[in-house]
Amino acid sequence: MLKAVDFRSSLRLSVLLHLMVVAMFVISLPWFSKTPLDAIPTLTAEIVDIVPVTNLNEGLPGQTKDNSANDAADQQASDNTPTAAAAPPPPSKPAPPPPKPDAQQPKKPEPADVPLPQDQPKDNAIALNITPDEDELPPPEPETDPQQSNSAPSPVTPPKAKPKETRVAEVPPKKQPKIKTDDIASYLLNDQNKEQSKNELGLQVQNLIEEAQSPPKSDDPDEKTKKTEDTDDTKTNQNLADFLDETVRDNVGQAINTNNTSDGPLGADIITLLKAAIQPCWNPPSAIEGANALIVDIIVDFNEDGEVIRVKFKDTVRYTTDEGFRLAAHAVERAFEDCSPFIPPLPPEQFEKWKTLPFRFDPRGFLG
Amino acid sequence: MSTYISSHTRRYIKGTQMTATPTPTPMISIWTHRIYMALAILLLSVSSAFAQSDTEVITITEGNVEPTPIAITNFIGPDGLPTDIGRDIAAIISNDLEGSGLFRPLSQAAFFDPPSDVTETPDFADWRPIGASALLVGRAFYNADNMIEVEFYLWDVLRAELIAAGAGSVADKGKRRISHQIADVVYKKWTGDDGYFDTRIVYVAESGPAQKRIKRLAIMDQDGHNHIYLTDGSSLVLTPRFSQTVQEIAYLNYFNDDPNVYLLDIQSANSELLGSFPGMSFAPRFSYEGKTLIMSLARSGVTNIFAMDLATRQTTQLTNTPFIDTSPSYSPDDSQIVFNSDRSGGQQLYVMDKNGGNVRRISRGKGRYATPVWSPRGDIIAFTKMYRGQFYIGVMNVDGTGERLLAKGFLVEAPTWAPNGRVLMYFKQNPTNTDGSGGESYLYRIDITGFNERRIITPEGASDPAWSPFLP
Repeated sequence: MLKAVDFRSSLRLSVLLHLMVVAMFVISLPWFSKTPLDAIPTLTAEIVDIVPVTNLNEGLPGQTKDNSANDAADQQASDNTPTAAAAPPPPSKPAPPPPKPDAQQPKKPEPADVPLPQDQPKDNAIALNITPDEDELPPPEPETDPQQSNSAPSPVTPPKAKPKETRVAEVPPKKQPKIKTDDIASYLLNDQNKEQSKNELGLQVQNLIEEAQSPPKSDDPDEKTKKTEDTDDTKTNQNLADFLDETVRDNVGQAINTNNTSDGPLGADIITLLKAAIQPCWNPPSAIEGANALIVDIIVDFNEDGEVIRVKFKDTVRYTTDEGFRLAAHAVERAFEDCSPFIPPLPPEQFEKWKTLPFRFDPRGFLG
Repeated sequence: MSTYISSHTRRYIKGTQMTATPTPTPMISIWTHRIYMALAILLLSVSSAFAQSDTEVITITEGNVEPTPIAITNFIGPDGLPTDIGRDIAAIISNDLEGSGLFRPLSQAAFFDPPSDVTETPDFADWRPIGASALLVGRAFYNADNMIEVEFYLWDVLRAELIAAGAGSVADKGKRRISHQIADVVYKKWTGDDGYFDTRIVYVAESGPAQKRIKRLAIMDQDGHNHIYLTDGSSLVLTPRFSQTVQEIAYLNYFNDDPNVYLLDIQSANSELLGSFPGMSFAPRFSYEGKTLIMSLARSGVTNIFAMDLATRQTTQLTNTPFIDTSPSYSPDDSQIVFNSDRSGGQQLYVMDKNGGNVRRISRGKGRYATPVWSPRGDIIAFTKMYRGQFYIGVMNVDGTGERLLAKGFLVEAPTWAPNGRVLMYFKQNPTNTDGSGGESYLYRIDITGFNERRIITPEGASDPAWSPFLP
């Protein structure tokens, strides 16, 4: 009766523990809280913004007749010394003062009070004529090829099509090696695996299993008697024990193998490496209004050489509708283009861990 | 992967259910139980980490705010070779972008193989090794009508994409301006913010000894070129201000020692007295919609703020206090006015509605505040601050919070905003004598981040700058 009670107590504890493990599995599964990575579409469209030709085709208002001051300023552009700075001509006669204001009826001064430079170039009272002179600025002629006619502005045509570089080319995913996990003991007891395994928990389990598989070393006769008694009980529940043993072996073995080979968590060393490599290359747009709020979430696919093969932006809607966000996204993309493959390189033996990584670029900290 | 975990989860549940059978069963071996316990702990750790691997986001919070390296090639002619005008245009664009502090033009000596056909997609492999993030190529040449033909392409080297392109033609006199316009396009397309290169500065040019100082209005491009004097220096002039809508400048003119506000038409050079008032009118500033001029009128030791309808020349008094209210500046939507007043003892900044109501003090820091100017973006206000013998140029939020000082000196004063609201210009005097005398004052500009302070080259001493709006 006492044994039965002990058994039920142990069983309850075991069940509770197993349920906790199952609950942790379920709760921590990614699809319960995160958007599946595959659901984020890849941006492939090119964003090319052609400046309206009219921006410049209309010519320049405000550039009119020859102006000696302008001429001189242009000629001295190389030394950045404006004309008037070089030699402002002394007035040949005192410049006409502005009209004396009439308290009762303000009078507008005569234009001659501030003579135009072309009329009296030696006078230092100079006017700037901004009005375009259409005679001096003929409108652009009909669109023709300037190389042929050499007479009129040509419309801006997008550069000759050239296939986009292969930076976003799809690379077939590397087939993930499947490691058998049938026998956790054989795996853990394998000397080679022992050396490879640096996982502290793995080693602890390994020690426990070794301890379990080795016969008890105690010489205590009471304990031997107890063992004999237990043997029958154990045999009675052998099926249950075998089943539990197999189940746990499968789970843990798979988890360990997975952790060591494919999708295990990134180590702190890799995360540190990635941050150190990317931060110097990330130059977010700082001039745009609200730049510090342009947080960009992306998924990056790398090839085995550490080169970026694809950048996926999470917020595709904002990418296409918000110019500021698009500029911020481009800055992120340039960071990877500029700095990958990283130096020092990502550890190739852990490629499965870093071949696809999610990043968040948050400029709030340093753009204020 | 998920299927695998799910199947094993089911098996695990099934196994535990089996242990719950009511049939009395013997106790499991203590060793086996210990193993299960250890394995469960291990499994818990591994499974948590495993699940985390797919969702763990690497957050990058530090970046690089260095200027963007840009390769600007000399613009070429129809024969594919650089032209003289193409070299000039490339140099002007390069100077504009470099001066903004947001771009770093690369030395042309490092260019491996500048393209001879700008209409073709460049070979980006030639530009990445020299560190170029952006590439600007173009054509510029004189056509048969002696007009300058210009065409340009801006490329994102790292992303291998065309960012912007444009073309135009201009008379020879417009060489600098079309170059500024191209620089504006590059700035806008790369940074997302409006450029400010195709703009002008009006300021007070100063020359001569302190006892016979000559002050003239002068106007120039924002980079200091195309410098022209607007007045002859026969009378003292101060505080020029650009209209936001027309080619006019309001300024204070001490003609015949009678200080009043005048309007100067830039195109015709005509000056016009803007009303005649008892006392002195000064500190003019246009509203953004251009129909109103706001200014101070001083009489009998009291200075108040008035608004003048430029069409009817009717004035409206906005403040009525026995103190000195001056330096008014409209918000971009013209709904509010910031000004400084000594009504609380020292000069402080106040904001009121456009009709003069709802006055509230916004400056709370130590020292005195003056010459507030509302940013064209509307979010911050620039000011001059005097504290413990030093002058500062600073900015604060419109409610007075977030004060930041950008520049300081023995005398720094009179900030004015670039039309994009990102750059400030002001004048600074560094005295040559210990008593504060001597030393010319010059114009400087600085980014609102407090970086990239640069002097604007002027022919002589300079003060009281005013930045034009975007040119029509």
